[in-house]
Amino acid sequence: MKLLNYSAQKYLSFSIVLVLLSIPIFYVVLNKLFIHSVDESLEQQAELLPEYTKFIDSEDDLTLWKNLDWDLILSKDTGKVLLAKPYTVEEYSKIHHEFEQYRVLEKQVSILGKKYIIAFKSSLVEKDDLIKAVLGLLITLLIFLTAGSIYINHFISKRIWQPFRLILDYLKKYDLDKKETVWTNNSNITEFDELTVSVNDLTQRSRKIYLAQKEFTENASHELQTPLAIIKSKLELFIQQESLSEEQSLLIGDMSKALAGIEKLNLGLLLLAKMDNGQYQLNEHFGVGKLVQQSILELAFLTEPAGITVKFNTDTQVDLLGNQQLYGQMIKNLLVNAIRYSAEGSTIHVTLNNNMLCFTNPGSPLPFEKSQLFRRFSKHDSVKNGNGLGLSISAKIASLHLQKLAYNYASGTHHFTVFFEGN
Amino acid sequence: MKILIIEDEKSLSESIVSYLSKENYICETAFDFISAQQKISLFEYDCILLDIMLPDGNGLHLLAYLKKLGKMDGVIIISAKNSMEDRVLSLNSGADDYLSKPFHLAELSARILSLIRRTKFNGQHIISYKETVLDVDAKTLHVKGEIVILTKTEFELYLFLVTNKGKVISKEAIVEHISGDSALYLDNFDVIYAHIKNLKRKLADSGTHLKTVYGVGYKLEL
Repeated sequence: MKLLNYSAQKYLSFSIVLVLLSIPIFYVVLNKLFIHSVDESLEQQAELLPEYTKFIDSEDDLTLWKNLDWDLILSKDTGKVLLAKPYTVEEYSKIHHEFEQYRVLEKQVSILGKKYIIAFKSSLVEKDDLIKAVLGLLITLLIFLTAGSIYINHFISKRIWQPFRLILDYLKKYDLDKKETVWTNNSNITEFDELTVSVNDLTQRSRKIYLAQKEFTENASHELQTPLAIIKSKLELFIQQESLSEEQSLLIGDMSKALAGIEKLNLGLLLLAKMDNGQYQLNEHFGVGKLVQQSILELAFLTEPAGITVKFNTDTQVDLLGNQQLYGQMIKNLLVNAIRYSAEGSTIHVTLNNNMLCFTNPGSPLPFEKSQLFRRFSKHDSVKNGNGLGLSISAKIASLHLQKLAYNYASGTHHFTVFFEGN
Repeated sequence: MKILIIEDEKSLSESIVSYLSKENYICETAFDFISAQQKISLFEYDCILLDIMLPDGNGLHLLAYLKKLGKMDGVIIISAKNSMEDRVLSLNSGADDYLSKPFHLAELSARILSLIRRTKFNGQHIISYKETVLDVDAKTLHVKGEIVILTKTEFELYLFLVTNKGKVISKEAIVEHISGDSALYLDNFDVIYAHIKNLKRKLADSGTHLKTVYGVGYKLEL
């Protein structure tokens, strides 16, 4: 749930409760107030009664008065006990043809020497109308007030939380690999300023760690080159000795082989680190077809003895902008890979068109998940050779060129395809 | 032939001296920028091996200094950086070749020989070994006057062995030499065995000079 909706929801439920509670309270209070005022006017009338009765001189006057004043009922005193306060009765109204409520105050009075009971009557019809009108008005007011406050609150909240939303967007888009951008904030609210400082602190620290880690790989690889060079040269001097026994030769042979492995691993790591660190310029124009042809020629020393044929099928010229040396490495790596897993005398096809560059070679299916193919150091018993970096280097080179390297196995053939519009 | 080795890593420098001395080169060493600069200004060398990362200065500045003195013949840069930019920068600054660490001494020796051949003997392209004659430019081999057809790989392989004659060459050095930068993805050196076998067959009698050093590599007799 969004922050704004959350607060709006709370406001709304509070206002609904308020409105629902206020309706009966308003009703009761208004009712009481109205009846109170009606009662007061009845009492006043009763008090003023002697002022009227003193003008009555005859029975005719009395009859006239009775007939003129409808709110007045004159009846003979039957000696019943009268209530001191006004009370409510329901009577059938001949005008409105329905029962209506009246407020009645009875008083004893003596006119022309006779005792009467005078009932002052006041209709309560207006009361209902008034209460309805007042209630309607109040509820409308309340609704507008609530709606207004919710809207204003929403509006203000939106403005208050604006810096928060911006920081959130910044964090969502935050990418360790991208150039450093410090988040700046122009709100004057202490909490948000603190948040900004904390966010910047955090992002800068993680970037520093990330850069240090990347640098470490590169530096470590560089530093390893010299000791490797020393070992390599010493081994080479060692094998020049005339007195070398067969046993010693074998030992040195194994060492040389292992050393070559370390060397390649180191070079591979260095290459990956430098690509990760964006140290390769991607500003050369080159033809992919030419690179493929060069690579096939360069790898003839591998294909010739195994009787493997590499067929290059293309009818288009594909030019790319990128790093020619790196791209050549990718092509060579994929070719070496195809050669390595091809049986003697088989044919490897390299197909180039406007959408892709594809290397296919016949072979039995992979004995492991193909998703593991491009991962660094994902080793399998079935694949004992290689250091597990070659394909991840190729995938990285492809992605540097905004392309995608994919693997597929179909009808007894391995397909390594570089899709030009891959990313 | 006089060679100056400018390399701060003494152990590596010693290895180079030891290997090259056996090939009748006169080697001198410099372990830092200052002494290298002094030697360059005082003496003449046929070839200079220059490590561009020196403790007290950038080797590329020495290259500029050599240029100023007009002694630019035969500089091979050796660097631990193995970066394209360094290679391009070095070659653009007038270096003749670039070799990244760790390298095989056999490879270094072949590069030096090729460089000296280019600079000192006006690109002499004929190399003889016993009864075989290699034409480096035409990439042809004559054995006892008869032309022998070799594949490009076989020719490069034989040339590499001839330039390092009398030395034991490891399989790794051979693979690196003939595979160039695709060596990074190679892990199987058996392919060399097949090429050596084919080469020996084509050389016929002359092939007997090529000895296998069990488990290590190959050696062409002196």
